[in-house]
Amino acid sequence: MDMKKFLKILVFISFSTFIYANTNLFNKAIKLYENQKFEDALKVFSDLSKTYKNWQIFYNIGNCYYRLGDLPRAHLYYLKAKRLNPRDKNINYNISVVREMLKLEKREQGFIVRITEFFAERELKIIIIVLNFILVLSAFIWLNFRREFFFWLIPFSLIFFLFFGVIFYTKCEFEKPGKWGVLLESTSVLSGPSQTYKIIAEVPAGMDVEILEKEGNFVLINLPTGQGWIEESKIEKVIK
Amino acid sequence: MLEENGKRKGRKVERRKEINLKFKISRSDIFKSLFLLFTIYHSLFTVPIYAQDLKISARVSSKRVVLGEQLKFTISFEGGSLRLPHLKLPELPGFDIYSSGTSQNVSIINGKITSTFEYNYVLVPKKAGKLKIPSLSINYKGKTYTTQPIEIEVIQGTPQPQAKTKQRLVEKSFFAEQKFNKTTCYIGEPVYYTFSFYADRMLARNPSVNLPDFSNFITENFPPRNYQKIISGKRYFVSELKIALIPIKEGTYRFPQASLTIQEWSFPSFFDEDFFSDFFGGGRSKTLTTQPLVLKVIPLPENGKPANYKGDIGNFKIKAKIDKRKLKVGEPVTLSIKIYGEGNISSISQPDFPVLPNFKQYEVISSKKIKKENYVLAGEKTFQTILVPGISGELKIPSIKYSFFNPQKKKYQTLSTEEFSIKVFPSPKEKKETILSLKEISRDIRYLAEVKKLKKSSNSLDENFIEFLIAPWLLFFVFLAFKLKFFEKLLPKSYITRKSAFLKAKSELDKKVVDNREFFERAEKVLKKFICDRMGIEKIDSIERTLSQKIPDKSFVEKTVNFVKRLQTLRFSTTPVETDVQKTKEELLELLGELQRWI
Repeated sequence: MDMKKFLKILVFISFSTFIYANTNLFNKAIKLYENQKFEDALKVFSDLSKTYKNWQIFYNIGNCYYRLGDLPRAHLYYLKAKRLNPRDKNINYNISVVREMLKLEKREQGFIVRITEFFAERELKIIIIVLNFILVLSAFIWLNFRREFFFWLIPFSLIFFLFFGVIFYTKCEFEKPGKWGVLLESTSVLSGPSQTYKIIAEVPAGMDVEILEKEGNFVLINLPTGQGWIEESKIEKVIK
Repeated sequence: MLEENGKRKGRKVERRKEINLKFKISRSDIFKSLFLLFTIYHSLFTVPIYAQDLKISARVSSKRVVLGEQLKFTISFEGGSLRLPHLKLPELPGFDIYSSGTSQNVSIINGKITSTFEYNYVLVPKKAGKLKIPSLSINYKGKTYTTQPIEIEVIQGTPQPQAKTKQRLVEKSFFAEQKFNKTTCYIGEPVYYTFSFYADRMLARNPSVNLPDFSNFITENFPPRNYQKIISGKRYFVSELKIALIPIKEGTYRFPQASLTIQEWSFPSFFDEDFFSDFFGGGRSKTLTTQPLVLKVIPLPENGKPANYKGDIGNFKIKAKIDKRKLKVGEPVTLSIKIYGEGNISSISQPDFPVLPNFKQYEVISSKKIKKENYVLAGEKTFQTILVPGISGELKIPSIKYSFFNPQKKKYQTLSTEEFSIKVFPSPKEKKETILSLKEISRDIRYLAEVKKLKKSSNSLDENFIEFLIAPWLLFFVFLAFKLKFFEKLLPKSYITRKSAFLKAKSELDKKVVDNREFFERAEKVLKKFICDRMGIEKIDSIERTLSQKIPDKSFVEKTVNFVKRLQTLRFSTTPVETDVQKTKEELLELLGELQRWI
């Protein structure tokens, strides 16, 4: 028993030391950024992003790319950060700055899309779990104690549960790995998955697009004007 | 013929290129027209038309005039925010028309803007009788607005005795001259050019005049002026043209001689009546010339030029006013700065309005009024702005400085308006915010974000989301199943009784007892109930017989029977102690466990 406790404490201490060491790395990257060593800072932040998923890491990577003049990648990483923390003012401001510099048009968004972008995936999960629990609890209390309040709480919580369920489903569909990407350079959109097809549009660098399917080295993307094929190497996915 | 001449002259005055001077002297009317050059304006006769947001009116200074007398004709437009189309004056065949300028007035009352534009003309009737100014039409925002026609009665004046004098053609019966009021001026300073024609008798036809080219100057025409003058004992009738010239560039400008072509009678004019004049119509043509002129335009002195000087020249005064001194937060107050005096009114620049951090300031609107009375360029220009106080308290509007160059004094002058103090009361809707105008110069990304604790990608919520959703429902359905006795419906009662016999027995034994003897009685009952439940029978007559049916091991049956007998003994013993109870309980549970295996 004592040995077990000792091992637990040992694991906890070593894990804490590991986390602490990486927080130091994070702060070191910030120092590098402050000293205008953006490439070095980018490298450290990128290494951290392989293990940790804090939005701040993606946001800072976006800042490094911005300072290095790679605006499409900066946009990509800001979108990654926004996915984790959608209502952060700094992220949204930087996105607007980058989009303005990339001369990207303002997207017209419907109500459902705006709601899906308003909540992070994790937040939606918590809301759904809580609503589900309220629904079950209301049913239980009403069956046992016949309290009228809980009877009315059942349809209310059910409506909200279904609403957020739809939002969550839409978000998951859109943010499926490999379904959302940013163009790293301006490229031609073709009518088919090969260079022999006709060019039907030009897409500016930095634009974020929905990826519908893949065929060979080409992906089918959804554009406001329709659909078209582009080379997969020209696009980097927000969620891999 | 006379009417055609009148039209042509009117157009040429508008173009400011070549001016045909009408100069007609008829024997019966000549003196009357000369004595009545300056008119006292009487009551105004206004004919307004109201539209949704435009009011148009035409008026004359007098409806009854003496032939040769001038009358003032004004067309005014009033509306919210006017942007007027070009005005086309109707045909006025009975009049000579001279433009005497336009005026514009913008007033702001309680934040509402009202603009008034006025077109001013001087009309000189050409014949006696009833003359009509026809209705004027203007197209504004797709609608046509018209004024009512105005009727003017032109009466014959009393003939002057001098007109009866018979004169012969002599030398110097006609002569012309041109002059400037000064030979040297500053850039932007108005200089007055005057062309005068002197005649001591009537002419056969209207003369025509060719003036020098003033294309390097901004020009403002004045209405022609007629009067009489005695030179060397001889009475001349003088017709005068006056033009204000505003130089744009410095330099020495030489103007050639002006010329005037007249048609004089070719015979001694001793007929008084017009009939004879017409009968013997025609005459000799003669060209009169003037001396050439030189004007020197000099730049403004650099010495003493104030920092806020913007190029205004003239002799001006400044006055500021506000429309209210007590108001609430959020209510508008109008600040008006009026600059007036002699000079080029059109070019008066906007004075520097102070930046007032406690006020929300609106755009400055200017309006001007140019007067050409007394043959001098004068008028006023008003600058208005709306100020809305953002905070309550005693707020100050500081004085405003305005600089101009005075050519008469040959120096720069700076004038200041008075300082205003206004009392601003709090408003219920007062917002506690400082009104400062923020201007974004450029955009840059925001700084790095810091992190307190690094998080790994997955957590229990992400990994077990479905379980979190399903778990409450599972519990709920289990509860529901118990509630609805689902398991009892699913399984036979005998089976459940048999399976739950041990648990029931155990829970029965765990119940607290008041008396130890009672425990032994209950223990016996529990044992019997257990055997009934396990064997599916209602009642036991004899334990030994019942068990023997199922249990082949006689010793175990005997052991059970003996245990029951011991329970009965302890039940009736005098002093059963606690240790007996505990021991018996353990033994009974052990026995029940063994029995479970058999039955």
